[in-house]
Amino acid sequence: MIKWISSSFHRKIGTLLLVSGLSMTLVYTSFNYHREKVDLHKLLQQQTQQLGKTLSLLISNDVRYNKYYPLWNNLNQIYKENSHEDNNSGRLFYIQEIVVIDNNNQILSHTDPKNHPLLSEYHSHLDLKGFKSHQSTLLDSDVFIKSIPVLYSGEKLGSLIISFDSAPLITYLKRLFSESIILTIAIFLSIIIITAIMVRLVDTPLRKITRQLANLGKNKVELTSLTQKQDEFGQLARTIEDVDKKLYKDKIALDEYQTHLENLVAKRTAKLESTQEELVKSERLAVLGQLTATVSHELRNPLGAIRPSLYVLRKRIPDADVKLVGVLDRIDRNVQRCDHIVDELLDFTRAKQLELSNIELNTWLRQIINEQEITNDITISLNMSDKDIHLDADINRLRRAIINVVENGCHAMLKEYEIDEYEPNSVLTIETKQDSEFAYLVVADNGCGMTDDIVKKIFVPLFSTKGFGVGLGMPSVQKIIQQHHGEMTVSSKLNMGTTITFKLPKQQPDITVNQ
Amino acid sequence: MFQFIRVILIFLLTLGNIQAETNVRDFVVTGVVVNSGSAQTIMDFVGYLSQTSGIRLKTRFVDSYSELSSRLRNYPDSFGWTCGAPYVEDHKKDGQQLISVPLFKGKPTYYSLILTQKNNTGKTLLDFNNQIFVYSDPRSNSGYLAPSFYLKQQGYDLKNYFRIALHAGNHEKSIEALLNGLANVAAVDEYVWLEYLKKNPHAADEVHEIQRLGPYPFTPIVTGKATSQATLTKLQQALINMSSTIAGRKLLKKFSMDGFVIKDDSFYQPIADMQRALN
Repeated sequence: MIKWISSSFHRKIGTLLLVSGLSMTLVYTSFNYHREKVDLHKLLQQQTQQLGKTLSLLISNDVRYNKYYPLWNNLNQIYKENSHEDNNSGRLFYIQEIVVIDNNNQILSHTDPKNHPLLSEYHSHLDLKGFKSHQSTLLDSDVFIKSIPVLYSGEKLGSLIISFDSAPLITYLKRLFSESIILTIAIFLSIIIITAIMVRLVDTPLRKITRQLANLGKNKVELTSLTQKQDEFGQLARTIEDVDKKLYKDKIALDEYQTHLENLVAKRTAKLESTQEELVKSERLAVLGQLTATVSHELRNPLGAIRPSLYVLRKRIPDADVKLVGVLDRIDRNVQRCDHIVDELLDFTRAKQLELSNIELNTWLRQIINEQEITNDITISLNMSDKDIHLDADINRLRRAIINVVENGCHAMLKEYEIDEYEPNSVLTIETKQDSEFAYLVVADNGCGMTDDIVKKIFVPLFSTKGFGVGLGMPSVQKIIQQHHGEMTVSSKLNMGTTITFKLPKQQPDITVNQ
Repeated sequence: MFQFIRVILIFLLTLGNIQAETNVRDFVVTGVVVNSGSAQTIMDFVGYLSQTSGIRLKTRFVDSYSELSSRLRNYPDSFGWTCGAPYVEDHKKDGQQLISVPLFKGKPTYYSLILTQKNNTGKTLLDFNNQIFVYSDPRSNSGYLAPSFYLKQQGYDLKNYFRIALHAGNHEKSIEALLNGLANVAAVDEYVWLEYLKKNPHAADEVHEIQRLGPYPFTPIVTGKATSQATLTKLQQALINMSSTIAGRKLLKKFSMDGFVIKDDSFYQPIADMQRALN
């Protein structure tokens, strides 16, 4: 029970109020009842004393002169007036019997003369009507006898003996007791109601506040019904709403800062990863560069020896048959190819500074495309922008990048397992466009396309899907674009084609441009 | 000037008083004669007499015969309804004049009844020796004189014959003293007892008559000595003629009386004889 009460604030308050209220009510009503009881007993004593004295005075003359009838008449009149309960008189007793005796114990008058004749002897043990010697309780009547001397000029003529019954007092006390009980119940009920109201007054806002505390910091605290009040709960609700808003703002700021930090971490991580990648790449390239330099140097010498030798052979054998010419041509092509590989290697490894010049992209691009020996099996679709695109670029490097992309596009449209036969309806689309800062060059084929895994790896040096090449084409292209502070994007769908976009700034920053 | 005005005022006031005394006379009635419930009838009776006799009368109730006698002595033009015994005394002493005597049961006489509780075995007044006797008034004929005379005839003195002789004040109270057990025996006016029984029939269950003393001359209508014969005659005529008027008959019926008759003073001689016998 105590645990149940102590587990709730409103139960504690309610119990405290009820217990204290009931205690105070009981104490008050009990105290009130007993005080009233004492007062009533005092009043009873006063009333009976007063009556006795008055009657004694009234009959003294009759007693002195033995006026028995007036004496009896006076006695009887008082007896009749006081021998029954009278709620309106405020009298707390009624008289059971009155006896007047002389100094010789002779009855001079009696309200019950039939049983106690005049001038017969009065006995102190006279059985007065209804007399009970025991003390009363609430349920009994309380009978008591008073003996008052009858005096005449200071001389005692006899005694007036009155038997009182305090039944009216008992009745009054019973009523008082009932009223006290009713008052107690009424006060107790009032306390219950007041307690319920007080608990409700405290508990309801407390519950609201407690419920809303879960929303603290979410800017969702809804205590409008309380904030309009001017009491402590109103103040508390306003404070909680203020705290909620502040916490929410702080949380937003914190979240923003967290996002900022996360972004920062992500950027740093990306940069670190990039740096690490670059580092790895640099290390690989350093090794590659060293290797390439050595290999290129070592290859150029024999290639340089082969090319004049081939020239001499062509000169010595002017009438060579077709079969031999074919062999010589193959040697020539492969020598060129080897040169090309060597150039690629050297281009990739060399980090030369750009030699920029301002070009008109459309014109320059048409010229390059025209110079390429592109098979007629491929339809070249040029979608140049209407307006000229002026661009700062190292034309040699950019050319190699473009040619590389165009060649890759053409190769992608070869039939599978064929080296010079293309898929029908092969189209290579070359498109240019621009905005205020950048020039865009798009090369798209409708060839075999690539899987996502391959797309991710095409910029990795030495990765190649071709049966020939060293896998430095796309990394070289990317490097050239990056050297131009541009971006290169690749989108490809398997069996649908590949689109490569160069995004190049029209103007290169802080670099002298040759006009 | 002021002295003159004062004299005039005093004269006028004195004249006014004399005029008032002359015009309105008391009709004094004691409760010994009539019971308490007949007060209104008494006032109607006095009003009737005032109207028919032309004498302006005002009812005045007194507690005892002594008071009545005193009133008629001090205001000798007043009228009264007294008892035979006081009349005899006052006639002799104060010159009280007899006007008329009521007719009760057709006669101008009545009895003194000796009453006791039904459970009492006494058959005559003599059987109550050393017991408690109650009477209406020491000057009452039926209440005191008649029983005293009776005992005297038997050789006893009422004052010593009973343990206590209670003076109740009127006959009704004597009856009630018996009913309440305060007294053992009472001497009561026959007329009052019968009237009492009409209003309190239950009294007959507890109290009964054991002896009759009398008959005695009934309670007379009297006046003081200052009343002129002419005035006396006017009231006498009004009383005698009551039975011949509707209003008078109604009043007589209420009193349970048959009328009034004129009697000579000697009519009360038996009472005077009793008084003389008792000194």
